[in-house]
Order: sequence, then C-alpha cells, then structure tokens
Amino acid sequence: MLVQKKILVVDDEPDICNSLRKYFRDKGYVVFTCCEAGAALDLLNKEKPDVLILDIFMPGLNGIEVLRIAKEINKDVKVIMLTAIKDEFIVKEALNLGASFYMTKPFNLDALEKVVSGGKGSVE
Amino acid sequence: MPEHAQKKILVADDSPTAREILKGFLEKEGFQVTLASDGIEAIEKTYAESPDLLILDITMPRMKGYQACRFLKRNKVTSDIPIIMLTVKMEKEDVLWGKDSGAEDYLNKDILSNEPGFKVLLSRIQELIQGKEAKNISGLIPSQEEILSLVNDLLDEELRKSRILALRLGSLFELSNKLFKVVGREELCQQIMNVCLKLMDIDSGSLMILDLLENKLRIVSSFGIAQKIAQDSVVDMGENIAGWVAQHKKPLLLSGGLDKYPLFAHLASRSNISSSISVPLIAGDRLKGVLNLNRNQPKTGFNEEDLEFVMTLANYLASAIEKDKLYNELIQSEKMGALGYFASGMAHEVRNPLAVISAEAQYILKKERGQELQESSRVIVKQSERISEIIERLLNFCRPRKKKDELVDLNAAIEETLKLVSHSIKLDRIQVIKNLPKNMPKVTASISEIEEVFLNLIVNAHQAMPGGGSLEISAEVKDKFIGIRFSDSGKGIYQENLRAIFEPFFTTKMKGIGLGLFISNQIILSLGGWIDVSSTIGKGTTFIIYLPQGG
Repeated sequence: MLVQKKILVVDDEPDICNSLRKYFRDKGYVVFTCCEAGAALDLLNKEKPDVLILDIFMPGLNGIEVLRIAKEINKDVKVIMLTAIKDEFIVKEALNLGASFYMTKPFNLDALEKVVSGGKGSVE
Repeated sequence: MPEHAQKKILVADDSPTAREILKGFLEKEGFQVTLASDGIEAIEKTYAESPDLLILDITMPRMKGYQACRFLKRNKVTSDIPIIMLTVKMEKEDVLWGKDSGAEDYLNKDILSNEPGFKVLLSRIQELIQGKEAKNISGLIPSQEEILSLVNDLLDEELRKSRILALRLGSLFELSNKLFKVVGREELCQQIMNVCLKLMDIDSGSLMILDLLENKLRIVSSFGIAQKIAQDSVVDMGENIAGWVAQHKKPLLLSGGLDKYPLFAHLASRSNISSSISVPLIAGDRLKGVLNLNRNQPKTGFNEEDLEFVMTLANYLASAIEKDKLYNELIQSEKMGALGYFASGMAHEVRNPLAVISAEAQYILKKERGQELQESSRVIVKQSERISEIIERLLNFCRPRKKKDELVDLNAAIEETLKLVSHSIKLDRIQVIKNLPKNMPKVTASISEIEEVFLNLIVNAHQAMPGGGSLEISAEVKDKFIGIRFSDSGKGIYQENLRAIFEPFFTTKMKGIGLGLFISNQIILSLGGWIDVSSTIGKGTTFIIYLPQGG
C-alpha cells in the first residue's frame, strides 16, 4: 500500500515553489505550495502535510514563527528550513523549535529529497 | 482647390548651403519651403506663415534650435506643429536634451549626404505631416523682446526644477547611506522625519506605524507636534486623513483648507496648515504605516511633483522599515552595523533566483539523457554554487566579528597576501619592491582582517597599472604607530575624489561595487589606526596604513 507523502512548500519566491513542486511531483509526492504565512497556516490545518519545507525570511510572519505554529498544529510534521542566510542564532532557534534540518540556498534537490524521504542527513 | 493643399515646411539653419540643399530637395518632393537663419527668425516666420512642419538646426546665432523648439512647443498656438531637429550634435546628452525640448524627432545631419539618407528624412516628414490639418495661426506675431523674455522664463523654470531634483537625489543618496547604518526602529523613524524636514520644507509632520495587533496607527516620530499630543495620538483605520489613506492605500494631496474636501470637511482643521501630503507606506503590498507632511501659511502649498517625490520616498522608506523589523526580530546577535542590512538583503535577493536557476538545472539534469546537456546542467549548478560562495564571503565579512585578535607579524601578512596575487601581478608586468625592516613591531589584530586590507590595496594598485608599473611596499615606525606604505606608479586619483574613495559604493571602475576601500578603512579605524592617501595624476598613488603597535 503506497501512501503518498504530502509536502507543503512555503517560500515567498514563486519560482522556487514551482521548481520544488515540479521535482517532487515527479518523484510521486503530493505537493502544496504557497508564498506567505497566512496561506501556509491554512494549508497546514486543511491538508495536514507530512513534510514542511519552509523559507525563513518572508514578509509578514517569518519562517521561525510559522515553524512554531506548525509544530503546535502537528508536532510530528517534519520541518526543513530553507533559507538564503545561515545565521548561527536562527539555526539554533529553529532546531530548538523542532526543525529537523536546515539548508541554504541554492540547495541540492537530491539531498533535499533524501531528507524528505526520511534518509539520515546532517544539517548543512 | 487641390485635394491635398501643398504642405509648407520651414527650414531653419544658419548655413546657407544647408538651407539651399534642403530647400532644393523638399521643393522637388512637392513641398513649399520657407527659410530662416536663426531661432528667433524661425519663431517669427512660424507665426507669420503657419508651416506644417519645422526642420531646425541646433547651432544658430541669436537663439539655438533647442530654445526655439521649447518656445513653440510651449505655446498652444504652435505646439501642434511637428519639429524635426537636424544636427551634427549627436552625443547622447545632446539627443536627450533635444528630445526633452519637445521635438518629435532628432536626426543626424549626415543623412543629407546621400540618397538613402534623404529618403529617411522624407519618410519621417511624411509620417509627421500626415493627417495634420493646416492650421492658420491667427493673432499677433510676438515681438522679438517678447520672444526672448518668454524663452528666458521658460529656461529659468527648467533650471530651477532640475536643481531641486538634483538636490533631492543627493539627499536621497545621503539618506540611503544613513539608513544602512541605522538599526533601532525609533532611530530609523527619526531619521526619516529629519530627511522629510530637509527635503520637503515642512512645518510639521508625523510618521505613523500600523500596529498590527490593534489595527491602529500610532505616531512613532514627529516634527512640529507637541510631544504629548504625538504620544497619545492613535488613529483607527478609516479615521481622519491618515486613517483614510491607510484604509484605501492611496496618497492624498490637500491644499487650501479642509472644507474644500467633502470627505474631510467635518474635521476640525488646524487653521494655520495651508497644505498637506499624506502617503501610505507600503512594502510588498502590505501597509506599514502612513507619512504625513504639512506646510503652514503663508508657504506655497505642495504641488504634484512634491507628491510624486514623497511617494517614491515612501516606497523606499516602507521597505527600510520592513527590513528593519525582520532583521531586528530574527537576528539576535549584536547590532549588524554599517553593512549588515545591505549584505543580508543582497544575500536574500541574489540567492533566491540562484536557487531557482540551480533547481531548474538540476531538474534538467534529471530529465535529460544526452551527455552534452547533462554536462551543461552540471556547469550551471556548479557556477550557481560559486556565486553563492561569493555571497557567503561578503556576508561573513559584514557580520559582527568575533574578536580573535592576536599579535600579527606584518611581514608575514604581506608575504601571504602577495602570494595570492603574485602570478597575476607578474603577468601584468608589475614589479613589487619590498622595503620592510626585519624586526617590524607587531600589531594586535585578526590576521584575516589585516590580510584583507593589504589585499584590497594591492589589488587597487594593480588595477591602476594596466600596462605595468611598480608597487613599492615599505614601512616606518612613527611614535607608537607603524606606517605601512603602498606606493604605486599607476594613473593616480583626482584630488576631488581623494576624500570620496573611502565612502561606500564609490568607484570609478567598471567592475566592482566600490566597497573595498570603505571596508578596509572601517577595519583599520576599528583597530585604532587610520589610512592616509596622496596621489598625483599620471604619476601614482600612495596609501599609508597606520596601526598602533601591539603587545
């Protein structure tokens, strides 16, 4: 029985959402995308994704805040932070709040997929 | 009556030959031609003879083509007549100025030297003249004095507008430098009010930020408003002028009393305000706040251009406030300092598209079976990563540093730095002469910082000597300081630029963003030293880095 894993991608750059959607759909995942926190929270409640790929620097509520709320909605959701800037403090805070991994842009799609599918990887 | 009445063209040129050539050509094509030999005559004859089109030379005695064109385009009576400027002045600025004068077209006189050129002119003329009804200009021909006086007024007005614009642009640039240094939200808002005060000649004003929780506007900084009133001032969405602007996300320009405006007539107006501008601060579609500016009697009210300028300023300010909030919230480490915002903002701006490029290339790599395209995709991914690394270096550079200071051996630092560039320096035939004392005192600093500064100076020297030359590196002890001198035989720096070279984003090169010397200077200053520079055009430049002796 093959249950399709659900991924939610949240990034304020629509092309990044599109690229990720294309790639993961091809791999057999169900992908939802949105470009800001409000829509993200809606989708988190409605679709209950298994994996959340989350940008940090977004207008309005930022990724750290969305991470916090996402874990409240579903503490088991696997969260991967994706961002342009790697800052020590933000990494620590994200991990403390329950993020599983942290990747900087530009990222390697294969590595990302490994993390999504549950392979062991290290935080970059 | 002939179906198409013969069209008349006025040719203005101070050269009799040019006039004759054009006259001959145009008459052959069936046009009636009238001539003028300077700008004033061109205007007089336009009034007297109502031509359907004008061909103006630019360089003419008494009045140039530009002014004649401006004059004619200003007056309703003559503004419809198409004007072609035909001239040898073809620099970009000339063309810009010519078009700015209002001419329909701006052509190079050398089209008169051959057949195809004439054809081009003819087709342009036909295009412009087509369909235009011959208009008989009734009314008095203005006297020469009147013409001159009107043109003078016109030019004076244009000059005034340009100066004001230049001043505003200069202040905007200054502002952007300040904004990069500001960190706290309050400081930022205060800076914004100061800028408005300076640029817009206001008597009072306020910057209101939208409180997201309560959906109300609060004054965060103000000018010319009593402190108590400002502090307590809270405005609901839709309430009063600011509230209206916030709710509708539209700017307002109000002049001459609120009772003129049905929407706001009910508001008790502060009687001495003669004019107000209120603009929404919007970043990425979200309202951040409202900026209100007022002028009192008897100052002239704000005009459309003022409103336009404030709207541009508002967009800029909104994004500064937005970034400030984000970075303050997220980055809990020490204040980022001068380049923190810039570097982080840039990293974000650049890495997002990079991520897309890289991801798409990786996608192609997955789908594509062909070797060559697979290879191309790999290259795209690799180069994207390289750009990302460059960004990372810049980011690291701009981050607040961990003080990893040690006693640095300057000789060694110079050697290490030279090793990095020795190959390319030799290639460009630059001779490096070292005159360094064996036992140079050490300095307390971080090696990488020192090396960055040395590298920057050596690279600059290199770039100043594209054909080769010499770079002398020497050192001397002066009181408690060490001076390390970098002297090149390059093209030199103009005296008026000598102070500006340490400013951010100053560069005279095609490449680079002009941050090298700024960063170097910041580093040396933070170590308790300074940089001296002297230069002679054509001979070379000397930088001396002074650092306090360590240990």
